[in-house]
Amino acid sequence: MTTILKVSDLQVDFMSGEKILNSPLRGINLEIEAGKTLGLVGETGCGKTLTASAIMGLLPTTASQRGTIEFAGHGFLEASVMGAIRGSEIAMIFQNPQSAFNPIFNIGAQLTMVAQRRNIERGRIPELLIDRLASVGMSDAKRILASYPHELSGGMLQRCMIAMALISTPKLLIADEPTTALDATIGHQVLGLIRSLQQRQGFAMLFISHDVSAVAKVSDVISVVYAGRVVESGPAYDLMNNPQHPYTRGLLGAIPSAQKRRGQLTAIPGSVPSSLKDIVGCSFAPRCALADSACSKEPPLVHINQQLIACWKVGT
Amino acid sequence: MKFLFKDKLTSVASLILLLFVTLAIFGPWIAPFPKEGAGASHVDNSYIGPGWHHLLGTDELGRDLLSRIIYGARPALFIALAVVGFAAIIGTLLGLIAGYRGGWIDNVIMRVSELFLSFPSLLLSLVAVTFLGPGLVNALIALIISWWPWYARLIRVEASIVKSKPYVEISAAMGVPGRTIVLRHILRNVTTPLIVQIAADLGTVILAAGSLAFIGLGSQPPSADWGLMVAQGRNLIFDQWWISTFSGLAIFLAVLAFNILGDALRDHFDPRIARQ
Repeated sequence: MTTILKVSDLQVDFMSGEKILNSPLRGINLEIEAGKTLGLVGETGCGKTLTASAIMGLLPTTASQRGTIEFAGHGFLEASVMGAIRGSEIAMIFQNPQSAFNPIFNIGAQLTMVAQRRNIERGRIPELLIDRLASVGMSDAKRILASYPHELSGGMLQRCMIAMALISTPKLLIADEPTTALDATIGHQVLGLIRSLQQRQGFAMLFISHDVSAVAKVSDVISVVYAGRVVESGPAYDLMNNPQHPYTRGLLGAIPSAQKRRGQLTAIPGSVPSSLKDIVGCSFAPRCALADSACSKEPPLVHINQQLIACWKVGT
Repeated sequence: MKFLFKDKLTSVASLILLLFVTLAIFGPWIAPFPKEGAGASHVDNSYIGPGWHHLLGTDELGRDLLSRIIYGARPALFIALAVVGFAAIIGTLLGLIAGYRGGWIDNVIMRVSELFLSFPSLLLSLVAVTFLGPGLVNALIALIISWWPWYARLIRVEASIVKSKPYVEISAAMGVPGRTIVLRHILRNVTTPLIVQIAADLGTVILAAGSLAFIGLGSQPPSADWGLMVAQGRNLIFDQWWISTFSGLAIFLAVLAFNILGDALRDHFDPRIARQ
């Protein structure tokens, strides 16, 4: 398989002049193969969305980035390259479809604005948009195009956003919490839609969510991030059935299930460390039941069977 | 356009404005003494009080005051539209750049605009005219210089609000270039406050242009300008009261009409701040 996106040791610091204010990303390593899905899970504030912004080249100007992002066919991603492929080869969908569209333009105008960037003949745009909306399951495309965002439901808007992202068949789709703002049944439908679109069009996907069960449904490989680092990474099946890192175990223990009626969900005590403070040693140690003096050094990411794990307490 | 006639006050203001626009366009055909309106003097007719032949009387050069006032509508409306138009264009452009780009360029534009705003606008115009020399065009430039910062600041605030909306970020992520985002999303979103501000400013600019003319730094004789006519009549106010009174009344009515319509326009576009 060919690797389509390779992120190596990505670090992001927020600066105030020459001074580093905080370092929310402290070394992210990711690899996505063509046509496959990488799921990125972690709690709020672990740096999932920031990773996506860095890949898209949309970090705020106060951020300083280190490490490399390599995209198949374009080498290392830099601002000049990114301007040409953003949206066309790497597309992105976001959470909160309700605020994703400008309330004063109709959907058609906003999709057209994106389509005009893609070297598509002007005359063919309406036809293309109707086709794209049909592919995300909206047969009533003419009416949708003439609608304003407030006239559509969250699920419909999310479908419109997916259609917008897929106007030019991208090689990589970054989905940042695409189901979080939707209710459970609609979220489930949208997940199914994304899956079937992926099978038809064959794009690779970076699927970001704090919802482990949603990630498990769509991903081939899952990476767990904690406090700006990848702590465990491996094939979805292995990781779900045989989690190694204490943090991953905690996350999986916190999924409610219809089978386990009785008993309490296990919660992870404490909260994600603030990126404002320097983190010494294993970032998860303060919340970890297994932590001891060995954890005062930062654990490296090492191969254990199929998985990559950063923990002193696993496999030794 | 129904809101232009939504109540008695607004209707009257609309009619007054319509009258002034008509006078500005068709003045030479409407004025009873077109030649005098344009400046021809009849010294033997000077200082005739209001009466049947000269409805509003004549001035010191024997010119029919009504014709002069009708001729004055055109420069008054012209200067209002030109000043507000250019100030709005310059201000909007700079405001959009400052609000969208942010950073040092925002700082530079805003500090310069503050520099301009820190002087009372009439004083600033005075200084500018003093440098440029008196005259209609120079007064116009001077007024634009003191007016653009208001637009730049208004648009900058609106632009920076719209800029942080998710749909602008998402447009960027979809590959829509910055120029298109600014022009389509942000400009469209700032249109309403812009229109309201323009409507509110038109009257104020007529007043400011009149003030410059009054102190001799705006339009020069023999052009027909309301501010100039008030100035010419001011020494005679007790004996030949009609000269200053009627030309002042023209300024008063125009400014009042523009202000009332500005309010109506604001209420129409922004119902949240409409008067109860």
